[in-house]
Amino acid sequence: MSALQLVAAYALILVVAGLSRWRQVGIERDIFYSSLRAAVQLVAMGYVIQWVFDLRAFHYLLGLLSVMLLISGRISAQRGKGVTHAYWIATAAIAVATVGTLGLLLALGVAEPTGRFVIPLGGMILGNAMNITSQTLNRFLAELRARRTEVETLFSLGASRQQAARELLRETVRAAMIAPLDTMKAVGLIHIPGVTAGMILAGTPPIDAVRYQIVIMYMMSSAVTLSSLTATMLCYLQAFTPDHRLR
Amino acid sequence: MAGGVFDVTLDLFPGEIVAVIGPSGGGKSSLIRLLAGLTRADSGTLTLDGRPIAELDARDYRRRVAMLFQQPHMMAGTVADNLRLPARLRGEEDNGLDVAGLLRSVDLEPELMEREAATLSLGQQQRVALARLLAMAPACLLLDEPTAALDPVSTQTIVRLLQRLCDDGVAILLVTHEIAVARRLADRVVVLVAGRVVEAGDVDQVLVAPQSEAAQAFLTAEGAAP
Repeated sequence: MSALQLVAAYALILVVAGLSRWRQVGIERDIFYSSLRAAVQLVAMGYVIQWVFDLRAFHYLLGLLSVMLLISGRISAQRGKGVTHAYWIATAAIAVATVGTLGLLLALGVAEPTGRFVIPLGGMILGNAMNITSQTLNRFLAELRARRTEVETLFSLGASRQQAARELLRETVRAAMIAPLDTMKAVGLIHIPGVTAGMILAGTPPIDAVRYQIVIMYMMSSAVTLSSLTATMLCYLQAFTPDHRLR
Repeated sequence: MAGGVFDVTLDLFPGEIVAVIGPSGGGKSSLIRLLAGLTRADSGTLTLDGRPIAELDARDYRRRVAMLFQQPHMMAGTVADNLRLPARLRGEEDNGLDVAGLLRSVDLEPELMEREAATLSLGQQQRVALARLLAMAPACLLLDEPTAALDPVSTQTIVRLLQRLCDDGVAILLVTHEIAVARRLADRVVVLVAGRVVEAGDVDQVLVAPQSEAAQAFLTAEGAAP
């Protein structure tokens, strides 16, 4: 792809920013700055990944994944403002998902412990786990606010904290998981997922690309479920005290 | 102590009704939530039958000291499901609860037991909420503005029910901003201003001839003091 073609693609961004201005939606500044920021971040990422590939040592990969984890925890925690220790909860939830799924793929030999596998897969897991953790924190807070009377009524009727929180926790995970579950249902029917699209564009036979996609889809589903469950459980332990009260 | 309540000494005995009155923001809600075990005191001691409640299991305590909220919350299911809830939360599936008897005790028709609880009127819901607490046979009832959301007829019914419960030996603590309700129901009145008890005593003495300036100011503002 030539540099000119790359710049031409940016025309699309200018068109939607123009539309936003014309219809007075007011997001053109956001579109403009976000698109520039994304380009800078992607180019930087390309150089960093190239550098990491050249290092060829696993502990460097771990270091890079840890930095990515801390950043994703920070971003996710912003959605959970109001949850005490939101940063630690988000980071722990994303870490559990990443270690669990990536660790399994490495242990089973599906992925090699090299930068070419660990960084893209780790990045995908972190990104998805981060999104679902943000959703979970946000939803937990909303449910806690909406169900305060219900929870306290249950307490006043002698409920334990597990009993008082049951519906709230169920609803938190259910609502947070709607989008990823729908994505899994629609995969291949409505949209061609990123990995398949990328591999086909890069010249891989579609069947081979699909095989990778299946592994990755299962990995993502496990990762988002793990992170949502972990975040919900940690929020619960934070908000409901062992002596059956709301903190 | 906690949440803007300081230095409150209060005794409550079986078969009596104590009303806590005072201006909004004076600490009434904080006090009743503290007594219900929904919040915790930073310092000080709450005792039940002479034992500090910190030593008691929170769940057992709440079954003995039950709280009725201003807004009744009906759980999903029928009225009967709601009345059986305390037993279910204790892990007893069917303990032969007399649902019809409980409904009659709060002046509701036993036929209502199969109705979806959420479809009842607010006044009926508040009575179901009261019956649900009575299913636990509590020794003490805490009531947070129990009639504030109700129409005059439902208020009358609740007041009558509380008097009956009190005659049965239940200790009742009532938080209210309605001095008329306190006057009709209470044996003793506590006036809470800025988190402190400024006056406490028999209902006639406190409402008719308050001694402290703060209590006089509050009752005059409410049009209750001479």
